[in-house]
Amino acid sequence: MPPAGAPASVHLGLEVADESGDGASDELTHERALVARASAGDDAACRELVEQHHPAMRRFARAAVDSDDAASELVQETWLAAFESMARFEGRSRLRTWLFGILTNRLRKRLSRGGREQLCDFAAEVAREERAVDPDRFTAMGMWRKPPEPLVCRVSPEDAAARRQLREHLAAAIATLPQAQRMVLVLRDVEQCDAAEVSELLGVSQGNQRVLLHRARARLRTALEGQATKGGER
Amino acid sequence: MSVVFLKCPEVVELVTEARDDELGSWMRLRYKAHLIHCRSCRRYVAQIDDVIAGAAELAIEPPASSDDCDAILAAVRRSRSVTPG
Repeated sequence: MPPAGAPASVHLGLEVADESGDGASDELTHERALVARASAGDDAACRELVEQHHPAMRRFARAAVDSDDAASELVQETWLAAFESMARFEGRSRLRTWLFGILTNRLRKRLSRGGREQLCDFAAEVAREERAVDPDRFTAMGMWRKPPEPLVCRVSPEDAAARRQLREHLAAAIATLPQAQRMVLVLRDVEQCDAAEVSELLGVSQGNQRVLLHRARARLRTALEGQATKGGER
Repeated sequence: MSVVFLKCPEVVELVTEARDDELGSWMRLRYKAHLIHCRSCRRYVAQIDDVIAGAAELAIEPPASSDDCDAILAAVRRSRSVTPG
C-alpha cells in the first residue's frame, strides 16, 4: 500500500514488480515467465495459468451474473480472449487483475447488446438509504439497546469445523447481497483487490465502492448474527 | 452529530472508512475515543473483522479441477485452430 498522502493512482499498473528480489517479486517474475511460455503455445504453462486463476475467475463471475451457467460461459469466454491477447500482457498489473479486467469487458459487451450501459447501476445502489445497523437497535440517546449478539461462528485458527461452517454461512449470505455490493465485496474481501483496482475494474468511484463495501460487510454481519443460537456471549 | 462525542449509530457507519484509513485525524480520534469506552461498539467492530477474515477464507479453494482445465484448454485449442494466421 502506498504511504498515506501518496498520490493514489487509479491505474491497474500499480503493482509493478520491483527488483528487490522479495517473495512478491519472485511470484511476479514466475507469472511473467508463465505468461511468456503460454503465449508461445506451451500447453503446460497454459494449464498452470488456468489451474491457478480459474477458481478466482469463477468466484468473481458468479458475483457478477445471476446463474452458474452464465458464470461458466463468461469465464470460458474470458479465457479465450485472454489467451488470444496474452502476448500483449505487459506485466503492469497482476495477471489476475488483468483477467478480471477482460471478464468485466466481456460482461459489459454482453450487457450492451441487451441495451444496458454499465455492469450494474452502482450510483442508484449507493443513493438508496441503507444503515449498517437497524436504527431500532439504538436508544433515542444513540446507544445500543442490547450489545450485538454473538455471531453464529467466527474464524478460529484451531477449529477447522468452525471455519468451514463460517465459510458456508458467509457464502450463503454473500449470494443474497444486492449485486453491486456483492461484486465489490467479492473483489475486496475475497479476492483481496485494493480500492483503486476495484474502482477501475467496476467503473465506480473509490468513495462509492467503499460505501458498497461498508453496506455489504454490515449485511453479512447481520446475517451471521441473525443465525446465531440464542444466548451466550462471545 | 456532537462536536466531540460520537454516538453508537455514528460509529458503526465509520468502520469501513476507519479500516481504509480514510478518516481525518480529528474524526479518527473521536472514533477511537468512542471505542475505548463503548464495549458494544468494540464488539461490533470485532464482528466486522470476523466477517472480513471469513470472506478472505473463501478464496482458499483447491486449484481448478482437471476437468475444468481440460474443458477450457480444449476450447482454447479449438479457437486457435479456427483463427486465421
